[in-house]
Amino acid sequence: MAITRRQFVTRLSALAAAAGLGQTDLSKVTEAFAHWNTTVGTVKPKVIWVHGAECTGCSTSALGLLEDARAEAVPGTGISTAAALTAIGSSVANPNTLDGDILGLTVADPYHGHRTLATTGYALDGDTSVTIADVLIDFIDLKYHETIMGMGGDLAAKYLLNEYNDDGTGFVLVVEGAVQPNDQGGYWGEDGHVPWCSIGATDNGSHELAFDEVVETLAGRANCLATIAIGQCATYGGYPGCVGSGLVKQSDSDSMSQTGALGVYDFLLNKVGDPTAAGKVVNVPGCPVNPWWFVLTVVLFLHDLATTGGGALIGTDGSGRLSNVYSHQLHGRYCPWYANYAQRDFAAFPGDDGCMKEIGCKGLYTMSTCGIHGWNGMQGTNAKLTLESGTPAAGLSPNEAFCGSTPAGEKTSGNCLKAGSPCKGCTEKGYPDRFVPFVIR
Amino acid sequence: MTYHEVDPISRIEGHLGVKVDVDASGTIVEANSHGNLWRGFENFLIGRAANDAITFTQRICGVCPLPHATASMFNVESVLGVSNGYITWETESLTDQTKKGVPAKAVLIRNIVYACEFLMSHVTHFYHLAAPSYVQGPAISPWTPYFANSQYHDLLRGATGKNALGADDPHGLGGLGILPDADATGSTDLWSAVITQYVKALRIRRLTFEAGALFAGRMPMVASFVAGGVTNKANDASWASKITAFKSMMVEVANFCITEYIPLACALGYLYLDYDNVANGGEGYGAGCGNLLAWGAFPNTGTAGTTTLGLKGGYIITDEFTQAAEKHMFMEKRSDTTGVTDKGVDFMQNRVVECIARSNYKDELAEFDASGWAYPGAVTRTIPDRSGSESYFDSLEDDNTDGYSWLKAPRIQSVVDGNYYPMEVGPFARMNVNGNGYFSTAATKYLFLDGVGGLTAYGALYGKATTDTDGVEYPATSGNYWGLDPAAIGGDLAHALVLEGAVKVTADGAIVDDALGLVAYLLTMQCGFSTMDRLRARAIETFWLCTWILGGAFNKVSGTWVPGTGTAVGSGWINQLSALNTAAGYKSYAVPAGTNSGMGVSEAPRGALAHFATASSGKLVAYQCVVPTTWNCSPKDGATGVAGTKRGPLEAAVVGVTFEEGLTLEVTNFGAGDTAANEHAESGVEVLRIAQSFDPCIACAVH
Repeated sequence: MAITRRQFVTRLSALAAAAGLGQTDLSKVTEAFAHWNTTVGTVKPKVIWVHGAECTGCSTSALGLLEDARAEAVPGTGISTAAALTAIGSSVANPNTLDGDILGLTVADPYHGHRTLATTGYALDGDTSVTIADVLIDFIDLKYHETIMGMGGDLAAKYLLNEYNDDGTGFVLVVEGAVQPNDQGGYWGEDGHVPWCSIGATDNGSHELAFDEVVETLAGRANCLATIAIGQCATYGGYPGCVGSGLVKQSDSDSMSQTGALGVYDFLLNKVGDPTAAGKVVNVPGCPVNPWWFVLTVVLFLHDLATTGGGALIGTDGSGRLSNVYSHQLHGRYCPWYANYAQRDFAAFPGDDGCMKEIGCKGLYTMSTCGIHGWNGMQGTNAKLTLESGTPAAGLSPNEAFCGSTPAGEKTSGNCLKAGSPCKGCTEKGYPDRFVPFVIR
Repeated sequence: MTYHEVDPISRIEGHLGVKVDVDASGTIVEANSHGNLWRGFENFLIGRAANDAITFTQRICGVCPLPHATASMFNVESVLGVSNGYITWETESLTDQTKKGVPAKAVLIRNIVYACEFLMSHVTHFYHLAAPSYVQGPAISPWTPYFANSQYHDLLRGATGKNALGADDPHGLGGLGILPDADATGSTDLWSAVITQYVKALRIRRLTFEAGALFAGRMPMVASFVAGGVTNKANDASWASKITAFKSMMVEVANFCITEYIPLACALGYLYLDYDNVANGGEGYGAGCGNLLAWGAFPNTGTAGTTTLGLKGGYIITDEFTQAAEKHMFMEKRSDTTGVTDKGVDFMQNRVVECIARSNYKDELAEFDASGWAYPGAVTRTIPDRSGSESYFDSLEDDNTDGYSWLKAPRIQSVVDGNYYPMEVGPFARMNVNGNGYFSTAATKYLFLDGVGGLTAYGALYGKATTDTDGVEYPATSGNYWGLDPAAIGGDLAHALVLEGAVKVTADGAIVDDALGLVAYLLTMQCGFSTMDRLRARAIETFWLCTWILGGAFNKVSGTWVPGTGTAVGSGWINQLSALNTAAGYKSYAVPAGTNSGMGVSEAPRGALAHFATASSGKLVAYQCVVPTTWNCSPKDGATGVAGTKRGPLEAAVVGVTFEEGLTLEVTNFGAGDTAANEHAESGVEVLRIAQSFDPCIACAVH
């Protein structure tokens, strides 16, 4: 609400740039948004967000989005919002109004009015931050999300079924939760007709709408531009996909996980056998996902769509994640206990001072931006902290006070390590089973 | 008889549907509440290190991970010899292994982080989950399509609503219904005020997370809880900053709860009177099963003899909603030990029973009797059964014995008559068990605002006596309300109501025109059983939480919460914690040999939560969770229509309600290429509202 669409786009571009894109690519992100209008046929990217074997933790996390766009986006890049504005070539006379030319929108656009919220006293977070309200209202056209949408019951079920029909509108599918193939019996070999997970029923009531069918159908549609798997469960199977190590394997079971749960990519490629649909999957792991990883992935995806027309996602690593987003090994100079590690000073029990390698820390195996960006508004460059958090202790800047800094003076940020907890490796494939026990006490 | 499937129940956590049979008069005569997901958490915990359950069970639910973290932590602590079970209190010694418990610093950090999530959950529930079923959202997705216009109160419709005087289109939006409308002072109508609050509530819920994350590292899933204490290290260089930051954010949260959330939640009942209790003039829609259960939560620090739980536990079985036929309190004080009849652990081992007769599970294990009943603490496996009902759209009459839900049916066995009773859990149950609702004395059954009894704190807060000379001046356009103090009711909300013509007052504060009747309603509001009572109890609980976290009180003169001072018990958890930067937060205990069973309880925002475990040398060999929504949305415990079979609380709550059939929808065009345009869709909004009032969390319930 607090910023215009254009400002939002600009800031996202700045941060996308900070995550590794060259300066010359920046304007392509803005083009991506225009692309939605001219090519895909809708003003804002249409998003259908479905929930499977999940806990809604990723949605809950995403609602807490707060990005301060004033400061350096990622330490060390030197890119500020102001710099990004210059790079893109801000020629808009009044940045607080919608620039129809660049974004291809007109005043008659039915969403236009929302951007006046910022000028009518509803700018709750000042004019420099990006929150979930901005995303929901100005950034995406969120058509279906069971936890947020107004509709429910029969109306919602019919809406979802309607999306089975190819109406020519491009959309992004977001999957939260693992997929449990209906014909897999899981550990217990239970392959009856009651789905592991379902959403309403088919129109004629012949059967429940099993979640695997929903994913298979929607992801397989030609106009599905991308399938974003959000969180550990949707990416690699996560908790539903883990194995009960204390149960003896059943001779007739087809899976060691309780319900045969799979990540979306695995499901589409190996179970459905649809490499085209699988090729559109972008993984955004984390348990839960950090809201910023999700937003940044979407921005980079849009960039890709603008530059290549989509389908050739840039910079994914071996785990299907965007390597710019999952860019840093957590063990390293952005860990607040790295100096202890360097001095071989190890904690012997929870709460003990020192590097937590000996009590279960998985930072050595974890790629994430937890160390440099962090959680819950505590990213290392979030000047917003000064507005919300009162006065820091004497001699400390807000960033030092709440985010801490490394011995080398780099700002770090809120994360598990800051609370004295070992990293649990939640962004990595194989979590949780590969990384237990989490805390050795 | 017709039958309808209301699935998905949206704006809750997870996959829930309610199938209803409706008779010729339009009354719901039978209902099946079914959870549509199973993951198998209890089974894949087996074989793991007991302490890992704290991380694992948080993933049962991402909306309420902290309750699972807390219950599993207490559970694991009882298994590992850190506590006697039920709840972990402060230890009397950091070194003596016989003095069980955890350091005071751990107790406080656990309470604070946990309370932050409570506040997040309650604010999110009211504004972002429940409210859109009563308030038409802005005319863009994700708030469109709407239910039929006639299903929203005129004052809470964006597009074609009417103001309190009956005039059309009060918002001046030409029927667009997108933007809230405001003048220089605030919202000009109730709808705009509520939409504004919706957006503001997004900020408030974010602040609760940011505040909690200062001590938890991150939220929603926290990393700092561990059996024996917390992982937070001593001598945090930014400790003072964190305390200051926490208070600053929490004061804003408290102010929002006091001046905006609680008043709106109370006013909503008047606008949807069918859903309010009979004593308030309503129809009592969604009254439920009439039985209430809470385990209790938030152990305070202090000496053993006097320390109590913030939220006490107990249960009430009522006689047809009218009086408490049976009431027991559980462990209330730290000095209450285990082994006392009907106190805590013993009660759970012997009186909490789960039935899987209508659930998608097999009863082939020895722990289950022939009718599918078992004590959860004794169950070693949960085996799925997918045979269920073949015909999805059959009438419930024809489908009366099959399993239909992934939820089990927990029940309490009455100490008095030995029968099994379904229990409603949640803020409403907690309020009554703690004596602040209907089942305290008759004189205190008023919720608040009566100014004569009941919760005097609320009465003093919101009630404004004629002799009140607090010096607060309300904007001239509104004047003072007698009985409703504008200083304690959001200026924006009050401003909107006055401009709507809902209330007129004279300069000396007398009400000359309570056009809507809202003020009279609020002044005499009573507690009872209904959909609205759940929403109100949830809102009012935030008042307690703010009091415990911050200490102090809301000051009507300054219009802000003034936190307590000092660091003594009672000054607010955060103030107590401020003195403990150098204190240890963790106490080491040796892993006990042999096989040990234990249990831990907590109160999730949505109700009573219990975990049971057995571990051998620190490795789990059995784990069971009895979860709030498993109580609230449970299936039946036997064949439908058979004597002795009891419906779950949600099922009981929707039976008897009028189901409005045949409503065409105001917005039927789903978009370009739509093939379902103008298709008939049942709204089922009654079922949605009632179900949402329980704040269901199905990922929890099925786990």
